[in-house]
Formats: sequence, structure tokens, C-alpha cells
Amino acid sequence: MSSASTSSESGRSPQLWKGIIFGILIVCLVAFCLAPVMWQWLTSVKVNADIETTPNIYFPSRYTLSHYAELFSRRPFWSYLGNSVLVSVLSTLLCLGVGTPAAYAIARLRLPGKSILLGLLLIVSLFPYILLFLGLLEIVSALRVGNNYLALIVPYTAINLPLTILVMRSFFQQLPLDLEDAAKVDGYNTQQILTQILLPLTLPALVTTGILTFIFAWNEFLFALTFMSQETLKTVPVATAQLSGASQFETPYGPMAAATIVGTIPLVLLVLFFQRKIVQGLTAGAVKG
Amino acid sequence: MATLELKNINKTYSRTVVPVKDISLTVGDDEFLTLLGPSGCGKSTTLRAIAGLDLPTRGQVLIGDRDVTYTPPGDRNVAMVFQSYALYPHMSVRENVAAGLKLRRLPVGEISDRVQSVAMKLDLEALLDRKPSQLSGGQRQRVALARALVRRPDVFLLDEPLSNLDALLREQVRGELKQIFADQPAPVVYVTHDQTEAMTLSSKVAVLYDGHLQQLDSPERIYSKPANRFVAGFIGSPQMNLLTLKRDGSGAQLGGISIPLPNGAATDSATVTLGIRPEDCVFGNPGSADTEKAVAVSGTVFLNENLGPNLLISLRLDEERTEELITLRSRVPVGSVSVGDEVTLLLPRDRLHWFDAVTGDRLSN
Repeated sequence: MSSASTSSESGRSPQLWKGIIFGILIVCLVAFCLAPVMWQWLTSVKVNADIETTPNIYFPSRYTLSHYAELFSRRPFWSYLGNSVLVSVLSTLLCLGVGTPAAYAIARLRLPGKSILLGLLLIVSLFPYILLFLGLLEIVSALRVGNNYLALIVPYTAINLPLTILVMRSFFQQLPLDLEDAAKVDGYNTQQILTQILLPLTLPALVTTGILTFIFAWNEFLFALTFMSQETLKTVPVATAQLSGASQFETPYGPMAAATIVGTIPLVLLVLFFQRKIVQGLTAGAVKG
Repeated sequence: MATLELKNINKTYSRTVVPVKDISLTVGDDEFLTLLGPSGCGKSTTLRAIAGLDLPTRGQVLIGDRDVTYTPPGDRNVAMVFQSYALYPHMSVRENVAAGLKLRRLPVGEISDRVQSVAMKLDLEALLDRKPSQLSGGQRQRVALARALVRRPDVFLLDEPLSNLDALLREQVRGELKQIFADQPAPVVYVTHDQTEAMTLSSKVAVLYDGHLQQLDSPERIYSKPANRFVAGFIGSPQMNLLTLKRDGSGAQLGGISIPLPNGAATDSATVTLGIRPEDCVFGNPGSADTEKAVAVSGTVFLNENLGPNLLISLRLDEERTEELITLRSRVPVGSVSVGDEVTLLLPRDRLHWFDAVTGDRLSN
């Protein structure tokens, strides 16, 4: 009896220790990843005196929302947000709208030189996009599309197309061919097969690539800084970097932190909202599983 | 309804890859045709050409009197059941079954009537609002069948619909399939590599091998009068004994006995192939054998395999009388012989099949 109880205790304690160590590691990992965000959030709710004091204080002595208020009262921050949303949403939709049919064609049709095309796509997606910058600047000024949303939407779409096509292609290839054959016999035409049969099944892939494109477009700084000089056309990252204080001797840490937080919220909401869609395995049960 | 006709269908992928070579056949109302053959014989390619999923390189597909060779699959009014079922995973069973009707813009009332009646027939009523992922294999198979039946097409096409089911269920569904398709008039084309399915379901069987149509006949004749050596060896389990014998004038030599070839058998080669099914060989006495009706051969049993209802024995014919080693298999009652026994088998003359040793074609009658 006693030996049984000791053995069960000694059996339990390693389990317990494992759990504790696991918990500590998780907390460390989360703290490591979230520290910059936490720091920005804390800065955004500190009063200026707390921000500038030395040595640093981590937790504010007084909480304030004045930096957030300032963002919207002294600056057209709503229009920055609007610009960012417009540019990101349009380039994401354009990217999916052009990339998905292209991916389907590459996955299913017998095209001459298909492997060369795929190789080119891969090379383009590996290309550091900064290198395109000077050429693009020339093009933008030659076409006089500076200070026009197109100057951002078109390059963002172009940069993200290769990845979209590659990801969607591999998804289309995973779908059973019989499904499309059955749809053909049922009387669906090619366009209906794509929109009514395949797209509902590739929704997880669409959402995944869509979110990647959206994040890229939302965070992009260099093109947005150069191609858009007009105040009302700026996007959130550029506007945040260009925030100025009350005088030229003041660095507006508080409003910058607040702008960062405000600029991050839409992305977080978007990912949380679509995550359910990504997780759902929609193709389960298509063919014998 | 309509008659399906294939005229000289050819499918060529490259000079060496020719899965279908010049296949012509007709399937009329109330007929159930099975395309039977080993894998790679061109049966699925032929079916896909009928469905319009692959275009033939040459030849014509006619439904009724309509040439549909280049018509898109959706406009042919054919329905197909796939081996993998190919149900639309994001649609409920009801939507799956109704999809083809909706695309043809049938009135909503008629769609729901037809779905209801086919669901009742196939016992799917309780499952209509489920998604395919919530169904078992047998249920998915029935939904795939319902999706075809509800269309009331001119031709039904079935591509190995039973091969994803387990053995017990397969036998049950096979019986159900036979009843369902007997109840409706449209011609059915069924692809399988399983000869039992072909024999039990069909009114006509087309045996394919290497892209060629080997024999197109009723299941009975496919079994009793195989048109060539391939069909003889492919149909029937256990396989037919196929013995290569030396010619001897107008007969052939087996174990020292000269068996006359059938009248009018024209063959020039020095050897000839004799076929006899294991179930047609019976025990007999060497002396009392009625040589008019049967050929008696003796040999030693070197293998016996219990098939359940009977025993499959393999016999090595007595060597002093034959120059080569000849083995013969026979079905006999369980427990009647054991390995090493010397037995005599009677081969009834009317059950002998003769094939040309070179071309493989059946000789005469």
C-alpha cells in the first residue's frame, strides 16, 4: 500500500515538473514576442513626463488617452487609415482576382513552357523588391501617377502575384481531378467550376494568401513614402514616421506609439476573424477519405 | 430513350502510347454493357471518351442519332458515377444531387420532387441535409448514384463504382445496382476489372486488352465460347487450363492420345493451344473411359488448394507418355485426394476449347 502510494507520487511529480517548466517556457516565449508591442502600448498610455523620465519607468504612474486623441485631432489620421485600407484591400483583391485563375490554368492546363514559367515566377518572388525601386520611380514619374493610389496598388499587386500563384497552384493540384470531371458531366462550364466548385474549396488558401498580401501592403513603407507626397494620400506607416511634436525640439514618442497601436489593430482583427476560415478543413470528404 | 454507338474510336497519346485502338460497339435501350479488362487495357479511356472528358483521336461517339464526339460533357445528357464518388464537399447531399438539375434550369418544384423520389429509392432521405464528410463510404456511393439517377440521362456511365467498398458491402451494392438499373430503360456502360461484377450485372460484356476489343458478347457466351486465348484465360476463376500441344496431322498430342481438332480448323503452325476449365475436368477410370465423349489423362497430384466448396488440385501428367511437363488443374470434392496421389481425369470433348498457338484466335465452331 505504502509502496504503491510512493510510486504514484514519484510518478506524478515528474509530470508536475514537466507542466511547470512547459508553462514557464511558454510565458518566456510570449513575453519575448510581445515585449515590443507591450512597450509601445505602455508608451502610448503614459503621460509625457513618464515617457521622458530617467531612469525609465516601465509602468505609467498615470494612464492617459491624450496621445490617441491628439492623433485624430491634430492630424488627419482617419484619412491615413482610409488610404491604407483602400490600397491594401484593392491590391489584395486584384492579386487574388488575377492570381487565382492564373494558378488554376498553370495547375490544370497543358501549357507549352510551363516549367519555364514556374521557374520565372519563383525567381521573381525571390527578387528583393527594393532593387525594383529606382526603376519603378522612373516609371511612376513617366506615367505621372505619383500621388495616385495606382502608384501603390499596381506595384503591391505585382510583387505579391508570384507568391499568390505558387500557393494557389499547389492548392489546386491537391484537389481531386474527379471532382472537376464530375462537375463537367453535371454541366458546369469552366468558369462555373472555378467559382462554384473550386473556390469554395480553396477558401482557406485564398484567405491565407490574401492575408499575406494584405499585411505586406499595409506595412509597406518605401514605395508609400516616395510615390505619395501629398498629405491626404499618405498611408499609416509613412504618417506615423512623419509625426512631429509641438515644437521641433520634441520627439512625439507618445503619439508615435499610439499610431503604431492604432495601425496594428486592423491587422490583428483581420487575422483573428479569418483564422477560423483557415483552420476549417473544407476539403474533408470530397473523395473517399 | 437513346442508343449509344461508338464508331472506330481511337485514342493516341504518342506513337507508342495508344490506349484505345479502333473500338466500335453499340449499347441499346435496356442494355447493360460492361467494359472488362486488366488495368491499362483502355476501358477507362473509352468511358471518358463517351463522357466527353477526353476527346478521341479518331472515331465517332453517337447518342441517339446525334454525333456528340466533340460536344462538351455537360451537353451530352450523360451521367457518370466515379470510382472516388467525387461529391462536392461544400454542398449538402441535397445540393449535390440537385446540382445537375439546377444547372439545366428545371423548375424548383420538379427538382425537389425528383430529388425526393430518388432519395426514397436509395434510402437517402435522412441524409439529405448532411455534408459528404459526415457520410460513410457506402452512403457516399449511394449519393453519387443518386446524383446520376436524378438526371434521367440518355446514357449512364459507371467507372468502377464498387471498388472503394469493402468486400461484403460490395456484394450487397452489386445486387442493388442490378435492380436499380433494371428498373430504368437508358443504356448503361460499366467499367470494371472484376469479372464477377461483369458476369453478374451485364447483359453484354466487352472484353478489352491492349486497346483492342477482344470479344463483345453475352456473359454466358464470354464464358462458354471465349473468342481467343486472352479471353479464355482472363474470364473464369480459377483460370482455364491452357496447354500447348504438338500438332499431329488433323489432331494434337496429349499424353500419348491424339485428340482430333474441330472440323475446319485452319491452322498451319506446328503447335496448338488446348483449353479446358478446371470445373469441367472430372475423375474417371483410365480403362472405362468413354473415349467417344471424353479424353482420359493420368497424372500425379503435386498441389492441392482448398477453395471452400471444393478443392483445386494441380496435376503433373505422367512423364513417360508426354515429352514436356504438362500441368492441369481441376476442381474436385474436398478431401477426395491428397498430394502424391495418382489420379485420372476425364476431359469431356464438348468442353474442349481450341486456340491458334500463334494468333490466339479460337479455332472453328
